[in-house]
Amino acid sequence: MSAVELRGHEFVRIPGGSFLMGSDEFDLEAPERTIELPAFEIDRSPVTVAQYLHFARETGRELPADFPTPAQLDDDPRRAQHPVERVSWHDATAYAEWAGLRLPTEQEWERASRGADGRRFPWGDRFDEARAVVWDNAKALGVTTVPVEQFPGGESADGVRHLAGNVEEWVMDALLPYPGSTHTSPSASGQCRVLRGGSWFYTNEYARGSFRRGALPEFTGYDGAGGPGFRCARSV
Amino acid sequence: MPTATTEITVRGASPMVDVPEGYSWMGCDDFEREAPRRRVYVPQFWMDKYPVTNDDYAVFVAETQTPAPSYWINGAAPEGYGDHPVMVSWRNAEAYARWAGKRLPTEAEWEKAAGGAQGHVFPWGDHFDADRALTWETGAVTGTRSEPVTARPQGASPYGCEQMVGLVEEWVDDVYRGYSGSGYDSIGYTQGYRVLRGGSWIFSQTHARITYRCFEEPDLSDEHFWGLGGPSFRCASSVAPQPELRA
Repeated sequence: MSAVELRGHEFVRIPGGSFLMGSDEFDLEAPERTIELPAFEIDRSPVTVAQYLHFARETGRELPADFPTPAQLDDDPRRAQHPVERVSWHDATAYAEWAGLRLPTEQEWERASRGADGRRFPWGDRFDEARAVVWDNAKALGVTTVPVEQFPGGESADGVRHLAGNVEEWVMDALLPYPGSTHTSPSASGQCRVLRGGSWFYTNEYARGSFRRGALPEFTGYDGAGGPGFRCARSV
Repeated sequence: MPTATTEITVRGASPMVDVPEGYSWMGCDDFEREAPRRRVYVPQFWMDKYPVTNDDYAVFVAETQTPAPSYWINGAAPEGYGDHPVMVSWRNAEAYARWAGKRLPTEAEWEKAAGGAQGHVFPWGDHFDADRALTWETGAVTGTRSEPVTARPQGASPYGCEQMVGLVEEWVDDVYRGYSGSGYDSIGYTQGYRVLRGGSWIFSQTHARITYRCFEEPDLSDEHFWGLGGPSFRCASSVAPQPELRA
C-alpha cells in the first residue's frame, strides 16, 4: 500500500480524452469550447477533517478557523468525515505537497465534474437538492458542511463525490479570463486563485461544473459563511 | 388616458422613480428556481431610487424606539457609514416601510424596476460590467464590503434605480415559494422565508442578474451583518411621493 493510500486518499481515474469546458452564460466562464486532457487521478472526496488533522499534527501547521476541537471530535466521530474548510490556497498546496500529490488543475476539476458529455452538474443537467448540499437546502436542513459519505447520489459520471456544493474547492490555477472572453475585473487580474463547485453557503448556480470565481490565496472565508476546502490529484 | 395619482405624505429620504404600468419580463429559463420566464402585468408604482441608508434608518429608530442594528456603535451608524445601506431583518425593513408611509416592493415590482420591462440580464444591459455594481469580482481583491448608495450611477436601471444589484441584497415583500408552472421543488419553498434580490458584494455576477432569487428567514439575526453584509431594502409606493422626492 502506498503512502498516499495510508493517508486516506482514494482516487478515481479519469480517462484521457476531450470534454466541454466553459459556458457562454457568463463572461467569466466563456467561451464554451472543447479541451483535450490526458488521463489523471483525482480524490473521490474532498480532503476531510481527519486527513487534515493528520497533516497538521505531522507538520505543526496551524489549524484553520472553525476546526472541530478534540472534544467535538470525540463526541461526534462523524465530524472528522466532514470536508476540512476555511483553509487558504497555501494551506491546500502545502497539504498536497506533504501527501506527495498536487491540487487539480482547473481543467481537470471541470472534467471531473462535467464528465465526457459536458453535463451542467456532476449527475446531469438539472439541479437536484437530493444530490448536493447548497444554500437552497442547507438552511432548511440546518446543516453547513456534511460528511463526505452523504449525498451519494451526487457522484459524477466517474464516481467522484461532492464536486457540487458542500465545500468550495481550491484548484491550482490563477483566475484569468479564458482566451476569447470579454471579462475584465480586479478578481481576474491574476492575483486570485480559482475556487470551484460552490458550497453550502451559496445557491446552486455556484455548483455548476463551469462556475468559477477567484479569491486571494490567503483567503480562508468568513465567520458564518465557512470557507474553502480542496481535493488532491495526481498525473498518471 | 393618464390615471390621477393621489399624493399623500410619503416619508424617507430617497427620491422615488415612477415605474409606469405595463407588462414586464419575469424569470429566466436557464435556472430552475427562476423558471419559467413569462410576461407579468405590473400596475404603476413608485420605487426608491436608492436602498435605505443608515442615516434614513436612524430617523426611524429615534422616532419609534426600534432597537438599533447591532453593528451600530452607541446607537449610531459607524463613522462614515451614514450614506451606506442599512442592514436589517425583513421584520424591521417592513416596519420601516410602513412608518415611511410606503411598503416593500413585490418581487415582480423589484424585477421590473431593475430592468425586467426591457428584458435585461443586468440593470444596465445584458453584459456584466464589474464597474457598474459592487460584486465579488471586485470585493475579492479590494475587500470592499460597503459603499455609499450614490456610488454607482453608472449601474442605474432603465427607470433610474441605482444599486439594484451588488452591494447589498434587498428584501422584497414576497414569501419565498416556487414560481407557478416551474415544476421544480425545493425544501426552501416551504419554510416561510422572504425573498432577497440583487446579490451583494460577497456574491459573483451569477447573483447580480435581475432574475436571481435568494431567501432568508424574516427574523434573521444580525450577528454576521457586519462581516458578511446583511440584507438591506428599498421601499415602494402605489401613491405619489411628495414632489421634492420625485426623481
